[in-house]
Amino acid sequence: MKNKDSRYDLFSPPEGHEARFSMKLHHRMQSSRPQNLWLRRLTAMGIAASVLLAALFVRWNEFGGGDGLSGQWTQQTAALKQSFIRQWERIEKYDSPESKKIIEDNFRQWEKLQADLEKLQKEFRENNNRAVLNAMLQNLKMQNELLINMHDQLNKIEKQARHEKSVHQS
Amino acid sequence: MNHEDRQRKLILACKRGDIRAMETLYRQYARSMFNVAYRIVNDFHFAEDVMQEAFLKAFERIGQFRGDASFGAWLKRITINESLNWVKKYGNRYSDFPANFSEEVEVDSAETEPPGLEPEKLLKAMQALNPQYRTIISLFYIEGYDYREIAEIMDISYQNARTMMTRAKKKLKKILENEK
Repeated sequence: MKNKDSRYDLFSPPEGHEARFSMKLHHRMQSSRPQNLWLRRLTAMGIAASVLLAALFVRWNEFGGGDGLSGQWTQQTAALKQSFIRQWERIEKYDSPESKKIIEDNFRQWEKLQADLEKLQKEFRENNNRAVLNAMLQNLKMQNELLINMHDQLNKIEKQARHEKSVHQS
Repeated sequence: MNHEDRQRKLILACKRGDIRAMETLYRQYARSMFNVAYRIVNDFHFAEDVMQEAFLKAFERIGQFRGDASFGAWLKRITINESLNWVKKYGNRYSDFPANFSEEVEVDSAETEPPGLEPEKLLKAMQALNPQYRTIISLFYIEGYDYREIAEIMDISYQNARTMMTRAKKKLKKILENEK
């Protein structure tokens, strides 16, 4: 192999790529640490679904469905993916017995959303339809909101537990 | 300490699981590997994902790096494989083209230099090619692999690599002529 010509390296990676990589690297390196497997599964599937949906949008645009919305779709799916990653980081630290019930309740809701998403994916494979793509995007947004709400609930009970502990100690 | 010594030291630190060393190597090679991925994936956003996954895989397998080739060349091969996997999974274009090319296409004599163009113009024209042609043009003209290496990377025969390159060059020429 001859030496590569760097004149062709015209582009810089998107802004913030170092921080995103650093986060991925830390997650990957810490994967042996005990963690809440459900949350890992939930957020990992959210990230994978965002990536898949973005790819479907790109294909839809390329195969004649192009209507100038590709940029918006790409932005939305990219934002969703980042949000899933952020939620992953925020939520996985909660592994107390108190948080377990909240996580289980939310997980059941998430399973329903995930089942709907799988149906939509199947429907899209059978008959390419922009409305189905939009429904998939809405579904992912709901999954993301579910995670954000779950974090709020977990945060609240943790604060409450800390408060009760301090009252008890005093 | 010269560049090679510093590289060796960083790689040893990576083998010990030193995250800071990994981040340093990432900073050194990110731009170059991003461009390698972007030329194949042809999507700015996904190229970042592909490039970063390649780095993560490289660091997971860093124990296998023996230093026979440079770290950059080793990493580039992982990035190319990761990019091709992405195209196969999401680009879904490989099926548009036969895996085996007929013998009817006359194979060009190997030109190892890009067709006398500004990098910007060549890269822009490449974007209009299908993923297979874009990949082979990138591997041959820009990354500098020979047909034997390309055949191995793309999992095709040597003859198919040459035939595909001939077709890709014809298509590229047509695109460039239309742009004039």
